[in-house]
Amino acid sequence: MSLGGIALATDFALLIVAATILSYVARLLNQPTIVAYVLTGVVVGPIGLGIVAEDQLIEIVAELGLGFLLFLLGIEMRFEDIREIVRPVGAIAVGQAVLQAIASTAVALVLGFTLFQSLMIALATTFGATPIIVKVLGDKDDLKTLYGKVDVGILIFQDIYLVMALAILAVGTVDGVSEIAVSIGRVFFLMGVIGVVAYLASRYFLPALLRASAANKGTLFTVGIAWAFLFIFAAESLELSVEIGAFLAGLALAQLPYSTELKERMRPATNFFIAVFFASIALQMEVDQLLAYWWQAIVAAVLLIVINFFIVFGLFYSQRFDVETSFLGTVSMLQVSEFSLVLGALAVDQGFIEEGILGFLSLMALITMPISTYYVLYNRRIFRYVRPCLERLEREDTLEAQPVEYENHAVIVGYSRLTGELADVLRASVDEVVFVEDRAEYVDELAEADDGFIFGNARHGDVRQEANVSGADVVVSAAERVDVNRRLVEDAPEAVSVVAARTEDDAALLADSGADYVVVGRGLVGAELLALLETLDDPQVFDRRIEELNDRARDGVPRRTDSASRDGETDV
Amino acid sequence: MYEILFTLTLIFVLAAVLLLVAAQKGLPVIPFYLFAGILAGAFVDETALLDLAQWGIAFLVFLFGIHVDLEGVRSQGRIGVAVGTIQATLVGAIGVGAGLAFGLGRLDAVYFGVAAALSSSLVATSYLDETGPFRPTHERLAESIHFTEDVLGVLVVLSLSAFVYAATPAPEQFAVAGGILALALGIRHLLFHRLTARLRGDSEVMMLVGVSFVIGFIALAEAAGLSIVVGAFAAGIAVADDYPHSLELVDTVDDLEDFFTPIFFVTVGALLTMPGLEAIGYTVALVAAVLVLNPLIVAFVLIRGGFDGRTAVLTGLTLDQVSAFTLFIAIDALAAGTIAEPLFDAIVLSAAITMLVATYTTRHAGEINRWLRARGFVSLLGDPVDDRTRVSDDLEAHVILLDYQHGGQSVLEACAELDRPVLVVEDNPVVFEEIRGECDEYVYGDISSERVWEQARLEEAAVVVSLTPERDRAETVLDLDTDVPRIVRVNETDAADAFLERGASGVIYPDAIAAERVGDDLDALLAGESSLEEFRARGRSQFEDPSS
Repeated sequence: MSLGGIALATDFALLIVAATILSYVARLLNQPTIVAYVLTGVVVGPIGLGIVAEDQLIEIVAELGLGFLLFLLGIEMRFEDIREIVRPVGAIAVGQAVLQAIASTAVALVLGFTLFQSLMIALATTFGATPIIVKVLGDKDDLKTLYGKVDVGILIFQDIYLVMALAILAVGTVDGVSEIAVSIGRVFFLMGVIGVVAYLASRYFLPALLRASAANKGTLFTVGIAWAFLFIFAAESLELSVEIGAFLAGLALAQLPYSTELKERMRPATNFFIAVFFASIALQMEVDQLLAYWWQAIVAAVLLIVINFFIVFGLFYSQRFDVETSFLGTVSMLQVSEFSLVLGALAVDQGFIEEGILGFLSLMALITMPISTYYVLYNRRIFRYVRPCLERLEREDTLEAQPVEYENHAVIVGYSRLTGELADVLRASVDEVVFVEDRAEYVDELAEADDGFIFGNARHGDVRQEANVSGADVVVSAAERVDVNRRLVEDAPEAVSVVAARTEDDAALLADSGADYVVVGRGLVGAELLALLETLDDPQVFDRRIEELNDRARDGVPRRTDSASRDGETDV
Repeated sequence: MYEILFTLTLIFVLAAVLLLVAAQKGLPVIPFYLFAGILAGAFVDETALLDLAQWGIAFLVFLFGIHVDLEGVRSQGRIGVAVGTIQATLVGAIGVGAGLAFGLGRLDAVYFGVAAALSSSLVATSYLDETGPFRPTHERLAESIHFTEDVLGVLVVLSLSAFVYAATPAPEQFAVAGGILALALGIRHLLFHRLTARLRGDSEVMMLVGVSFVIGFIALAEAAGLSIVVGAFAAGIAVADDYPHSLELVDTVDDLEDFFTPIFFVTVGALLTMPGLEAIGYTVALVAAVLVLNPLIVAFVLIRGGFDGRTAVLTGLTLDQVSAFTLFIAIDALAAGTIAEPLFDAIVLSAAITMLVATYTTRHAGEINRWLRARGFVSLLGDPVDDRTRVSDDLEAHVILLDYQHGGQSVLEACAELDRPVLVVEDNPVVFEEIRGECDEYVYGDISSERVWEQARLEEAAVVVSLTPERDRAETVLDLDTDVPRIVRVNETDAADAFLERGASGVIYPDAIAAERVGDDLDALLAGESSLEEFRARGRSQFEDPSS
């Protein structure tokens, strides 16, 4: 046994540091980090400096990263979010998968790949790149727009397609048609079994389990990881792909109220591990493998961007979206996805394709991703430029879908006596009150109430986004942390903000950051005591005043009608 | 891959199950991880996990380094530093002596002494940081003592790598470590903000920057032949824990740590072999030292230093557990092959045992204190309720005020305005100095002591106001045998009912008071009865002029 040292000259550490530097540069250039990660492997691996080789730790972490990524994809599969636009989105997604597969196969055949290679390339290149679309649209604050919603919806459908593709790869190389049929049958049967287990668990077992684990900061996370590992391990034992196991594990959690918080807690670990995965792709590659099909990659990238534009635009347009939405929605989807690399890497492992094809896919990703970032970023400007050509496609009677999200609402972070009573005040003037709370003891209460409820900690960006803090009319926060309150206030400069502070210094800081009203418990207690002590010489008045104080402490009359059942702590 | 997946699955499933049990009972998680490791040890090959486990140490120490608040220690931690150093040195020396007496080798005796001397903050912080800045004296004291002992832990690790693991003793390594720390401070003040400003809050890259800091500093440390603990600590120092990095970098690394910490502690548990008689003997000795000797010495030193008995006992009771640093040291030693196997087992076992017991003693600290007091234990140590009291002989119809720092200032002002005499009872020597300057009447001492109440002329008082959020303290006030009205603070509705039943004349529930005031203000704003400017002014009046 030895502690080999985790840093100096270990491949893993070097890989991480290189990935950090490149992703830092990528961030400065507005590029998504995924490009930086893939380049990391190229730069430090045998193709570039040759200072890092794949070792056991890298392999383990990369594998975990892929598992966690699929787990998160599963958790994010909340059909509720796209319910209103599910029909057109489904039609576009299916149409795109079929038509793009045909187009990609044709292009690959023309470029001289064999039929089998062409089919594998088609299988791998049909996705839109989630890291680019979500990241760039998120930065532009366009995820809430109609086209953003549709794009995200399509990505969700593509996740299903990804899982199918993974299942096919999991069959492995077999000879003979009957054997293929048996293998595919076996894979789908076992997937079905795991799926049923996951479904039953999400109905009968997980709600109680997560309810119990939400009581403690670390427990929810550990229980979530344990759940993922159980499925990953089961899939591995059954010789299925671990990714499918992870995906189904996530899917079982997706519809539960704890999913957002769990997802956000797992995201740093996933980001960390997945960086290693993408960086490790090029570690196994030699330079002639990466560049084996270099000119084909350039031609294919250009051809596919053009052809896919017409396919996706046509599909959007056929679903009665207006020209602008169709254009913006289409432009975002035009690049080779990180999933191409995932499928490519797995296909190499399974012996379906040789490294050269993976090099081809990597090159296409490295070409299309950085370019697409810019055309997604400047999509509106490009649209203005091409608008004259598209004008005759304008028509009446286009699809208007209302994005599902909170509007004209008040966000209340932290459920307490104070915020509970403020909610009573607010209900009269806003359409909806949304509670954000991450203490388990209030889950049942808040989930049953008529108000909106998000289980999660407001420190996570996604939780604030889900509550639409930036679009809220009123933001009230009883969060304990000053930095969280400050972020809430800064997220919602337009809103009326009421936040709690513990000290006068914190209060002044929050007020300077833009909080409209800072509640300092100490100051109020002092004022109340002053009023009380004034009456000390007159026992009757004193007693009455104390009685008032006690009544207030006991229940919130007059603002509360049902205070007895709603306040205090329910025993967990 | 199958092996490692099996191991990780087993670790996390076991950890999850045990955590659920721990969460239900409100117990700390680390002893459960250790037990999970002991269970899992039968099935897995833990050596495969050592790489991942080391990341657990690195992240734990890194986050400790990040949270080091040098300003805070300088301003109010001096007593804690002194007490921590005295206690650790004393117990360490006794431990080494006892180890030698047990017939251990010199180095093993040192490990034994370290295990007995150091207390854990990595476990203790989980329940210490619950009530924010207005914490009772004993919690603040405990925090600075824990901090001191963690720094001592870093120093021990450093000394071990300089004198024991190095081929030849290398005292210059202290200078090297000092250089690395200086570099870290330089980065924190000169480079860190410039580096992160350009990321514009991208938490993914920020997290990688944090991890790369850890790697970079550990690489430096290893290049200098130092332990990874020193490198990770320096990396933490280099990262500024201010807004917005606390949200974007520290929190994400924190989440990452949650993945590696269980692996570390479970691995430590898995390394345990079936303890023999020898190991059990050491365990008993260690547990006794940690549970009895440490609290005793701390309480004694504090009382001698002028603190009252209650604070001294409660502070002592937070120091009755084996430090996480001891585990780092033990695993390092095991890897280097310099620790006797039974001693390693004893350290892991006593860590698990004392961490569990510590939860119990912390939770029941108030009762333990009263029990000890009733048996004359505190006066045995020399409880100093003495001359630091100033009460006029004719004082009457006065307000007795407890817990000055929880809003007592405004009560004082109120009384001055109303010409009402007020007497402050305080048990924190630091706050007490301030009170002496501001009030005419004061009693220094422990509110569970009857003599304090006699001195405060309770029977002549008009009212007693207790502003503490500590339930145990409020209950002590309510259980006083007197007819004088007592007003106590509560933090939840249930407690309000319970306290009123127990004899409180009135309860102050800050949240309810705030709800009324803020509710009215917000109502007025939303109904259009007041402008946003007026609303803002109402809010500002609360903290810009506390007496309004």
